Amino acid sequence: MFILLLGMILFISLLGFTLSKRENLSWPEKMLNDTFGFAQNMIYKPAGFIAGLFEDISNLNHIYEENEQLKIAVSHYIRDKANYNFIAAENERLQKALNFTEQQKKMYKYDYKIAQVVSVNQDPYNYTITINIGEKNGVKKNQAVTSVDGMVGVISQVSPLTSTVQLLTGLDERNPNSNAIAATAIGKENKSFGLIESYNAQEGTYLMTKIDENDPLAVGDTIISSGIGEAFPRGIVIGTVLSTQVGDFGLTHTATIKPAVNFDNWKELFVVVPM
Amino acid sequence: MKRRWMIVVMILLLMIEGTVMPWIIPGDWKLRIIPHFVFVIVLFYGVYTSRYLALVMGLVFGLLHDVIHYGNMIGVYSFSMGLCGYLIGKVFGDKRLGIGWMMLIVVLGSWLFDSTTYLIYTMFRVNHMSYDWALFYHIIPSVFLQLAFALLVYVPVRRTLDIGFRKHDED
Repeated sequence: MFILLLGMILFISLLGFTLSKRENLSWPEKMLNDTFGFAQNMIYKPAGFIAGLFEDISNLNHIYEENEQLKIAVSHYIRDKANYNFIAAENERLQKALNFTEQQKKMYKYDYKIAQVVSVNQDPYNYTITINIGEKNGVKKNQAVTSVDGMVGVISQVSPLTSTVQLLTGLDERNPNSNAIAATAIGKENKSFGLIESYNAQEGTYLMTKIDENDPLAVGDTIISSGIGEAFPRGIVIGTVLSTQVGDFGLTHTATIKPAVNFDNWKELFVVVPM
Repeated sequence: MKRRWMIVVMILLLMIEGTVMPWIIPGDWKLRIIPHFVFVIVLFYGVYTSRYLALVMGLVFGLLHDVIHYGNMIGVYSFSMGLCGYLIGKVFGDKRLGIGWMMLIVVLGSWLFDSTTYLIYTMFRVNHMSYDWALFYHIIPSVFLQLAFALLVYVPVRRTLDIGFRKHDED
């Protein structure tokens, strides 16, 4: 009985200690993470390859449709690229004219580091994935992780060769470890603002709060991170607006956001590292 | 097979949980059917060896799982696996129960385990969903996977762990 009580106290203090903000992992944790990361990497890839084989066969029918869509996307891209080059050159000229410092010039430049998924922890309260790049590749805690479709999560722990990503399904305004994402809408970058604060597991949506009542945000808008506050990089797709409501106190509005990613089927991810 | 090889098998199972299972479980069910194969083996330890061995196995492998999938906090699985393994061993241990009872224990054990983790996450304010939701969202669907796994490994695992069963088999 006494031992049980002692065990309880020990565990509750361990839980409490590890729940609070920790800067670095201890070396046993790092060693375990890297060893398991290495071993799991050997299993995850072949398993994915075999699973992918079946998937490819069933996807064969959609290829023509996809090809059509991609052609349209490429034509849009070429048109935008020409436009972008003009704007980028103009921007550079103006930055030089206004004597921007090196730091200011680098502010919104990011390096997208590709990472392979090593393992997935399917737990609705603690949905994490492990990726195969870590401290040695310049990954740091709290950096954003994206997939091809959009923002996936945040680096929660870093070891020398692997790191753990906490997915945005763990986003929660009442949890001291989760940061709200400053967000805006594509095409309304200077007029729209809100904070993506929590994820609703029941509905599978994010809640965007603190939106001004005169905000032009509308249903169907694509929500991207705004980079204000510098906790998250700028311009990463988060989702689309499903509906907007008046908030709890009637002063601000809230919006329901459908995530751009499905939170399943992980292959490659990108860690967004500031340059 | 020697009993100490079981540890290697459990480490392999721990890795399979994170690597192979996400590919097998279809997309919509990813967060609803959660593999806890290592925990099923801990239950076998509780029923067919001693409850103390189940406690130690649960604590060690739970801690391993917590460390390699460190998201919110360390110790949730360790505590739950150790406690559930010990309790199951206390109630059902040393009785030489058959396959029917073992399956019942797996159902009971995995419900107990998922409820304990739910309780801890709720207590530390990581989770804000109601228990009803958790029960239908992931606790009940997960039980079926654990049950299927237990059925699959029942004979080899019992033969490894239960010395009396092994002797009986050889006669």
